[in-house]
Amino acid sequence: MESAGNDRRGAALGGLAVLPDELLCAVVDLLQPTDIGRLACVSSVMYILCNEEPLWMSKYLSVGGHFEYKGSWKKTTLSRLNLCSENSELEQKARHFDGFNSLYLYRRWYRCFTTLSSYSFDNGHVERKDDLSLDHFRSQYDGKGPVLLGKLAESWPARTKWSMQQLVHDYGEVTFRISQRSPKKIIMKLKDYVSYMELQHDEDPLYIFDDKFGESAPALLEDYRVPHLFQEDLFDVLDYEQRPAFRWFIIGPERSGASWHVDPGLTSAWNTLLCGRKRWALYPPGRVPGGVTVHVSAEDGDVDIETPTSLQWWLDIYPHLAEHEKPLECTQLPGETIFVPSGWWHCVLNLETTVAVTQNFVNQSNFEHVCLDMAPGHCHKGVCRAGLLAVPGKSVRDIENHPPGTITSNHNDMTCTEERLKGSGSVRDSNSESQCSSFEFSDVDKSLENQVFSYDIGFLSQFLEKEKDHYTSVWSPTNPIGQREAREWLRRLWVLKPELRGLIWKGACLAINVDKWYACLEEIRACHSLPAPSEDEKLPVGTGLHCL
Amino acid sequence: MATREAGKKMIMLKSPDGMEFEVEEAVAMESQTIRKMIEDDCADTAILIPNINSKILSRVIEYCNKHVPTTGATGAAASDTVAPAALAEDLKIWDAEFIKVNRATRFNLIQAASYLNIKGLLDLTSQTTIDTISDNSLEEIRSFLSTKNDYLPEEEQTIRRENQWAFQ
Repeated sequence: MESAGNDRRGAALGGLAVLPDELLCAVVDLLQPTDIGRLACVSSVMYILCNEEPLWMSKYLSVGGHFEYKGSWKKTTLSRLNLCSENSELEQKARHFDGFNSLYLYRRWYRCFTTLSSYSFDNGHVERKDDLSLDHFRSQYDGKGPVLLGKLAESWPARTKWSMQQLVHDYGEVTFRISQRSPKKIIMKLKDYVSYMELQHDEDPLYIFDDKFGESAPALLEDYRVPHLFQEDLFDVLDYEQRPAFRWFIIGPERSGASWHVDPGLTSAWNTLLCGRKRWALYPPGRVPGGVTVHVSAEDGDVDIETPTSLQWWLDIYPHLAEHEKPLECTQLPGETIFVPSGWWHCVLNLETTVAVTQNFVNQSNFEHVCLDMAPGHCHKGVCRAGLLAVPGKSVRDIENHPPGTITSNHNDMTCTEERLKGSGSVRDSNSESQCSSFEFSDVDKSLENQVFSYDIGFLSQFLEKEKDHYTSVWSPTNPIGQREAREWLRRLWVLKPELRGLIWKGACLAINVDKWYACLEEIRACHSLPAPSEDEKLPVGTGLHCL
Repeated sequence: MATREAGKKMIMLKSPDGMEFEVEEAVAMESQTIRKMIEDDCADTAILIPNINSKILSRVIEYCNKHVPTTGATGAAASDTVAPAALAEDLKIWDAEFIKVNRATRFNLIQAASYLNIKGLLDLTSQTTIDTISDNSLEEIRSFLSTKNDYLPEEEQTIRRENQWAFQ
């Protein structure tokens, strides 16, 4: 490659030649499709830059809508924009220009065309269990660590009915929701998706990630059962329309997969694989993976994760991790269910076409964490995800209870304060000192000197901003449910689950300060010699009545 | 670390051609790259900015000075006396003047904005470049960018035909 030289670049790019290829691509990406088409006629290197498939994928995703793949992203986009008729002579022959090479473009191309069939890895660090009793699960795994479960899905009809062939046969005309890193909503018929999946060579392919499949294809719900270990879901007390998204039907090809994240609202999850293999990487709560940045808005607690794609992470970052920095890893096989506890970081890479179903849930083990995460403010949200890195002015990086093979990484990066400039869409970090000074941490500072991070609720709740009350504070837009729904949820739990009132009270104190409101209520009641509230009415979560 | 005014931390930026620029830390932190260096305690007294000469660096600092929020804003536009909309309008006009530079300087500014990770400046400089491409004839684009048409005649014809959709 080197011998071909790069003598074409200078003349063909002119003044722009000073910019590195990555930046050139970013600049071209700002152009409208017709401008890109014209720029391609300017010179050979412009032609190359203007015919990159990732460029056209990005152009398409900025439009969104109903998607039908035409064999290439360029054709798909032009036909979506009516810039060329179906049978126009867009058929261009592959063109080669000597005297131009680009490591940046080559690496990207490599990611698009790399095959992963031999990329499975499993060192047994994630335990495999075939039969697990509920008691055993609760005492050994729930809230403690991930586990792979072998036989939970054995009797499911999905084991035979969820092959790609059968699914296309049964649901080809059904429209599903597509997940991609783009602001635009994309939907596709299953048969169109499958033809896209078979033709594409994308680095980060679109994948079906549909939380409404129960509505668009109700029969799919008959093909699986929530495993007995995960039956308890405290969001069940809410009506279907009120409760947050909780189950997803997932289809994704090789190279696709969810990049590093912590599940929404600190819920736990199970994920059962029906077809294909998924490679998983996991870190315990508070351990931000290398190459990942967490932004928590000081304004409203909005959590934003900046991360490479799964494939990019495994290719570019993972090989540079020291042995002790490596995540917990496993390769999930068809028929296996993985349990991901609350707060755990995870990242998934599909090694071939996969079909899976996943559900998130709140049970007694993670209830208080979920409640804590709803509370206004941002520092506790940061600490739950990024550990003590999220505490302003602290560089304590010790983390307790990490499983073998994982320890604090040097790439950790946590930005705890962030200001979103509204309207412009641009994001700018602000001075962390000035932002954080509005909160009082002095009371925890001293005790922190000798503390190590723990995902224990007692430890985490120290980071609540106690002076913030949920009636007057901004309710974070990334919370799984709205403020009104949260109060309704706690009220219903209180009434419907009397056996859990101790726990529910604790959670309600974290989420909406019920203890404070109850104390007010008691005071007023004493003043006016009013009768005590009945047990059912004791939780002060009314619609303003209680709180005067 | 030097201090110019009480409460205002100063930081020294050095260009590879030996010039030194003392700026407020808040101004320097408009650059996410520098911000990270400071936060990770990698920046003690002075930061060397490689690949950005003093001429370009001084323009970048000029931009950051103008765009740093509230405190430290140069000129008379104190944020508490001017409505936010007016302030934004003022910035826009200022940006338009700022970017009236020759092509080489503009491309160097793109490079600097990218390296230093200053989103606003990168957007501004890229957009200005985009504007010279949008809605111009091929010859105009070539002349703006000093790009040589390196196609063989018949190659050019085929490519023009293939991209006919872009000229309609």
